[in-house]
Order: sequence, then C-alpha cells, then structure tokens
Amino acid sequence: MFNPLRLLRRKDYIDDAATAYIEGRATDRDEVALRDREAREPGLRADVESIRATVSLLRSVEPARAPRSFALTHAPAPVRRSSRPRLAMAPAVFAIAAAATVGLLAVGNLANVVHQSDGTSESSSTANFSADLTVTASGSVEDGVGMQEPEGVPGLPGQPGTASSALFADTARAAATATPAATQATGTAAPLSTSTPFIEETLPVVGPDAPPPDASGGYGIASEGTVPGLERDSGTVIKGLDEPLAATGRIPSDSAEAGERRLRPQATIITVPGDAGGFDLLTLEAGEPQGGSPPTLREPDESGFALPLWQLQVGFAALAVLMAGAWVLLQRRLIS
Amino acid sequence: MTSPDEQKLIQLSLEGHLDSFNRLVEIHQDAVFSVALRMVRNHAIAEDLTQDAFISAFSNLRSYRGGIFKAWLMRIVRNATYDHLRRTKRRPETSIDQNIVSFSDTLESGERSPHEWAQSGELGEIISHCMGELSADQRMAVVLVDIEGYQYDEAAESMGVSIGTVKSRLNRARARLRDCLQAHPEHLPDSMRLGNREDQVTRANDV
Repeated sequence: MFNPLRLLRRKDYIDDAATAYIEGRATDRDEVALRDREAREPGLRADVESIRATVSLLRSVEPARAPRSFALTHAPAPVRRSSRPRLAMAPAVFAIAAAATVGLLAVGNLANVVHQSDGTSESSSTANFSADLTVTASGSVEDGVGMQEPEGVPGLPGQPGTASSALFADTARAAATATPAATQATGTAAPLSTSTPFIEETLPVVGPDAPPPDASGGYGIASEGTVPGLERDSGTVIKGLDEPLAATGRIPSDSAEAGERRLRPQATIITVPGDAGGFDLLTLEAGEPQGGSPPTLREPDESGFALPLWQLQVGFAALAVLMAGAWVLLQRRLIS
Repeated sequence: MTSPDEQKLIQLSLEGHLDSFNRLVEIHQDAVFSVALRMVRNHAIAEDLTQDAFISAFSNLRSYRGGIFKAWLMRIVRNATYDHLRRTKRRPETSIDQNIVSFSDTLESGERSPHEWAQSGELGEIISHCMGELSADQRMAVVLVDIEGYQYDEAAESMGVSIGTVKSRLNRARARLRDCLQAHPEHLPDSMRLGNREDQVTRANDV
C-alpha cells in the first residue's frame, strides 16, 4: 500500500551518510551515523543495500568508446548571428501592432476622434439618418396616418441629407416611438403624404390665425389651422403643445384651454380630422420645454476622422489572430 | 580543473588552429560519445550528436569562459541530446525497439560462461529499458555520476545545476532504477537479487 510518509522518510534517509555508503566512500563516522539510524528505522538497511547494489551494477557498465574519430576535417564557418530569431519575431510584432490598432480605433471612437464613415453605425452623422427617412409612423396610430420621406420642396430649407432632414429623421423617430393617442375621437384618414418637411421653419406657421411669436419665443394659441405646404390642406390641422410631445400625444380639444397654453416653436402635432370630428394625431417633434431656448438643429459631427471603423477593426483583429497563429507555428518549427 | 595543456590547446584553437582543437576532440570524444549514447540509446544518432557537438564547440569556443572544459563540452552535448529527446518525444521517428542500444555490450565481461553472456545480454537490455524510464535530467545524472564517474561538481557544471540538485536527481533516479530492475529479478546478478521490499526488511532485521 502506498505510504506517503515513505517518500518523506526516503528523502530523509538518503542523506550524505547514506549516499557515501551507497557510493562506497563512507567514512567511519558515516558508518556510525548510519548504524545509529538503522536501529531506529528497520527498513533502512535493506533500502540502502538495494540502492547500493543498483549503483554497483550501473558502475559495471563501461563507458562506451567512440566508434570513429570525430576530429574536424575543416574549420566550420564562423558562427554568424542568425537573422532567424529576428524574422521569427516578425509575426509577433505584426500581431501586437494589429491588436494595438484595434484598441486604438476603439479608444478613438470612444473619444470621438474617429467615427464610422458609412451608414452602418448609429454614430453621429447626417448620413446615418438617411435610412431613417422612410420611417412610417402610421402604424403607431389608429388612423393609419402615414408619413413618408419628404422629397424636399423648393423654397423650403429641409432637404434630404441636410441638417434639416436629419432633424426630420429625428422627428420621425420620435414620432415612431412616441405614444400616439387619438384624441377625442379617432377616425380614419388616408395616409398623409407630404412633400413639406412639416417641422422646423414651417412650424411657426401654426395656422392662418396664429399670432406672431411672443417675447419668450413661443406662440399663441392656434386652435386649428391649415399648414401651408401640406398637400392635404383640407382639414389638416397643426397644433402645438407646451410640453414634450413624446410624453403627450394629446391635443387639447378645448380651444380655450389651448389658448391658455403657449406653443413651443418646434413642438408639432399634425392631426387629421377623424370621423367624429376629433383629430387623429401624429406627433413629430419633442422640442425644448417652454421658455427654453429654441431647439437647434442637430449638426453633423464634423470633428475627427470618418473611417470605416468596424471594418477596420474586424480586419485588424483578423490580422492579429493570423499573425499570432503564424508566430506560434514558426516557433514550433524553429524549436523542432 | 582544465589542465595547462588543455588550456594551451584551447588558446590555440581560439586562434584558429584546427589541429589543436582536434587534439581536444581526441581527448574528449569517448566521453562525449558515451554520454550521448547513454542518453539517446542509438548509435547512429549518438554519432551525429557527437559530431554536431564538436562542430558547435569549435564554432562557439569564444563563449568558453574557463572552468572545467569537459563540463563545458558536456553541456553542449546535454543540450543537443535534450533537443533530440524533445523532438523525438513530439515526433517519434523510429520504433522504440529499433536501434536501441543495449547495455550488454559494455557490461564488464571478465570470464563468463555462454550462459552468463546470455544473461548479461538480457540484463543489459533491462538496464537500457530502465534507463529509458527515467526523465532526461535523472538519466543525465546517472550517466554522468554512476556510469561516467564524474564528481558531483563536474556533473553539476555539466548539467548547469547545483550540486544539491544533482544529488537529489541522482537519489530519485537510483531508487527508480532499483525498483525497475527488481521487477526483473530473474536477470539480476545474485548480489542484486534481494527479493521484494518485505523480504529485504525481514532480512535486514534478521541481520
């Protein structure tokens, strides 16, 4: 049976005295020390004797003789510093550099020094919104009001691909995510198609009877009115709210109440009259709170470099993995 | 220590005298070959390793910084054999039994009967087999100290370790060899036929 203590004991008893005895060079002092220990450890003598016999057997093996002369017939070429180690390090250097590039791109992106140059990212760029311009908000309201990408209207500042259209896209997204609510009555209407970016500069036109902006930059009541530029002008009403539309979606039906409110310059609601005389609602913009500064159009971030960021990162990461693999293979080959 | 003659030969070799270096080769080639052979247990490979070791020694003679020249040479052999063992461990090139050198041809002969010769042949194979069971470090310690008769300090310098490490490896190697050899008692000489451990203990107690 395995006895772990035996290992300790063995280590203990193969001391200098035992080794000297095993190798046949024990002095009288070693012999005495060994004999003393034998008295305490009964198996010691047998173990030491067996090892001594093993060593004797090994010593009976004569060293081999060289079968021939190994004298050199000519001087070997002097040793030059091989370039192999340096070459062997090349893949490792490439791998580290590629991995560092991936890291730098990531840090640069976080620091807004570099950003994605194409439309595959959600980073700040005007072009990124182009795909969103086709957002149809009609599905979120009961009336099936549809909104399509404006093509741009001559004389209006909002053009696709510009800051205005970016705002439009933002607005459309807000509309799509806002909780729409039919107001007093819901009704069905044909999908609203407009060639007018019914935000931004058109918004102050809250209706034919809308008063001019007051001192705080807001607008007075516009209970209802027709927005110029909308193709479907009949019954199309625009109203403003004094609170972020994303949180509302309800038009005060009471004109008197509405009259008490102040319209925010860019808070826009487009409504389509419903069958029951109420309005279906499409919210488009959540602007600044009342009394605050008018919302500014979101300018595309022009700072830093626009790069195909994720493509570069994937490419460099693949290069790093490839080079690391090459380095490992090369090392194995060099070792072997 | 390296003898004055050897020092002079080394100095001349450093100056490019190939004949002087070949004198050193003649002095040490048996020892180098013997160690290589015990380590790799293959004549042809041992020859190659020995030749390579001397070529390497000549090319790198400037890295010799004094001390025991034989130990410096042995360190080159040791590195070469370790490289070979590592390689063959990863990619075995020959069958285990092929070309394996038995220790029988170098066991001390004396006057022996044909039966003893046959027995010594089998014993040599068993020794060779048991040596093969040791790790490279343990085998090197046994080869240098027990077979080649190196002093501990020479062995330590040859292996690039401390004397204590040599002793430790040697103790473990000897114990493993003992156990391995005693698994084949029928081929052991009488002096080694001590029976199993319990018998040994009993016999020791009787004594």
